[in-house]
Amino acid sequence: MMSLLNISRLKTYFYTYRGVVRAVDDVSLSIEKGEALGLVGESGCGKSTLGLSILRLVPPPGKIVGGKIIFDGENLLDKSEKEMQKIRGKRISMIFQDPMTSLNPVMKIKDHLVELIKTHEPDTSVSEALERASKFLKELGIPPERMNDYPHQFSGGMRQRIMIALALILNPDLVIADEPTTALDTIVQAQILELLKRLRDEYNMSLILITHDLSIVAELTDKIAIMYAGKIVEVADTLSFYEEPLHPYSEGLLKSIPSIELSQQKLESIPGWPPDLINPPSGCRFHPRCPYAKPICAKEEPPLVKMGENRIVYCFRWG
Amino acid sequence: MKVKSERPMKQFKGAILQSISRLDFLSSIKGRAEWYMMVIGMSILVLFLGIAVFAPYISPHDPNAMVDKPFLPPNSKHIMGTNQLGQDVFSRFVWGSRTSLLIAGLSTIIAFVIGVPLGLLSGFVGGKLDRVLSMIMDAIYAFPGLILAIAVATMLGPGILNVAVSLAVVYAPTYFRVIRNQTLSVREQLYVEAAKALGADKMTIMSYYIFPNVIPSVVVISSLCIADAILTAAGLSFIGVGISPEIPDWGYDVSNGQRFLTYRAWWIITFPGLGILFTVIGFSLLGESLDEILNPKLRER
Repeated sequence: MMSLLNISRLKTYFYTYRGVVRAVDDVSLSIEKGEALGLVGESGCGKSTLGLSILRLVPPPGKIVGGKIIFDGENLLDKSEKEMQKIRGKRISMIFQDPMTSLNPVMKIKDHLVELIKTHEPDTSVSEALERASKFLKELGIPPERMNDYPHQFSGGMRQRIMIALALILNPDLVIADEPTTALDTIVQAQILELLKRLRDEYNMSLILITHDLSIVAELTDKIAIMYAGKIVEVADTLSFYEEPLHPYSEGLLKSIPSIELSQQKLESIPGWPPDLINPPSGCRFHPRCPYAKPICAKEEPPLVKMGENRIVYCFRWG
Repeated sequence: MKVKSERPMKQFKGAILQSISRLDFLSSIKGRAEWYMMVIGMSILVLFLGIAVFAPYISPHDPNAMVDKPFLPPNSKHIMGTNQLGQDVFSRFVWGSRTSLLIAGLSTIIAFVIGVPLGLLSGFVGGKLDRVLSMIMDAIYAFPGLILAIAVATMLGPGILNVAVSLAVVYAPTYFRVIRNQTLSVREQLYVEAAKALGADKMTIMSYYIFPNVIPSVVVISSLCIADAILTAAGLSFIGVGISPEIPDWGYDVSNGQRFLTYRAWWIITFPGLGILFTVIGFSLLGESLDEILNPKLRER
């Protein structure tokens, strides 16, 4: 079966005065239709850049310098800007981290939605678009009469619901959610996750959930990809990942989640800091912090090791 | 290409209509400070506009005719007295409002039409275009306003439209700068990125996301520039490159009449002076209140 999205050897570099920042370096990843993937990593590891690369929205001085992004059989990197505009929002859409600033302060909610629908489906009349918008908002728990309000009149959770409405109303094949709940408090966070889960099942869309929070990934995703310093280090289905993380970095990440049940244990952290992406460590980028490091780790790039059906890990420990 | 050229116009129209449609909540701000500011500002401007439009019916004399002895203080026959040439100050005041408002309005519109689109483009497109435009505008900005206006006005010759153009040249860089800088900051906002991620094209982003977010600052600059324009126009008339003396103008009358203060002829400059003062206050009040009203965030407070 063909994957919905197949990223292969993608490289996105930022050309800064200090040097070239390899934010996404040789990353390969694929997502099936209807699948939810959690993209997890520390801040600065390139996960948001990967998300923006898929939409071809990497801000300058960033540039996609190599690889392929095959979406539904077509390479997105070959598309013109005009063609990309037709894909963004309609076939692939994105939810951002901060709902407080991701809506235009001088546009009413209904104008946001109507504008979006009219952009991608110019034949729709305004009244049709309005009707569709109000139906969808209702489904997301926003009373349709509030469509006449401005963004600042809503709470953070409500605004994130509106962002989700904007991202999903045209029923895209793929939604990229970049830390959708980070700016929200825990209760609202749970509501938003619940909503995303329900909508995903209902509309059978694929989802890339970008986050640094392993606890929310477990609830929502089928598959997890761990990213470290611009590289994917491990891809696994969610259940087996939590049972047995293979990469030493994944292990460290899981151990560093505070938990009520394990309260007697000491909370572990990974020693050291994430590397500078201008001068990443040679060989395996994790080796300076890795408890299992061997001499070869500093010399050569770790190989891709297939462990079982759907598990991939890049590590000398297993290969 | 055909479609491309039609759509932006529609979108800009949409953005402007949208700004106007925000006025529907006007009733809700009734009784608040902004409401009074707006009402007072509007009434002042409407009053002067009325005087300007109906000048031929209001003015009792020909503003250029010698109707009585010179230097007559305000009396029952000439409610604002007469000036050094024996002309009726009230008639000159009434006709002068026409010139002053026309120059102020025209110069503001021209400066707006030049400065705002260029500023938007410069800030949004960036790169070389931005550099070139900014340099040109900064070069203009570096001249003292009055000197530049004199230079342009001398080149163009006297006349209301020419004065308005020379003032617009002076004020366009102000609009350009403010709009460009605002555009630069709004462009980086997350909602612009979110709009891009949802497939909005450049024209949509400019007209729906950037233009409405930068326009409130224009309201404030224009109320300041209008005031300044009236005074600069007066300066131009004073040194003889502005409007010819037979066209009555507040600015000219003030600068010309100040010589006669030593004769205790206060009325010659006081009334046109008050005219300028109240016009400026009217525009400022309207500008400030519109800024508060049109900004949906400030409106909530």
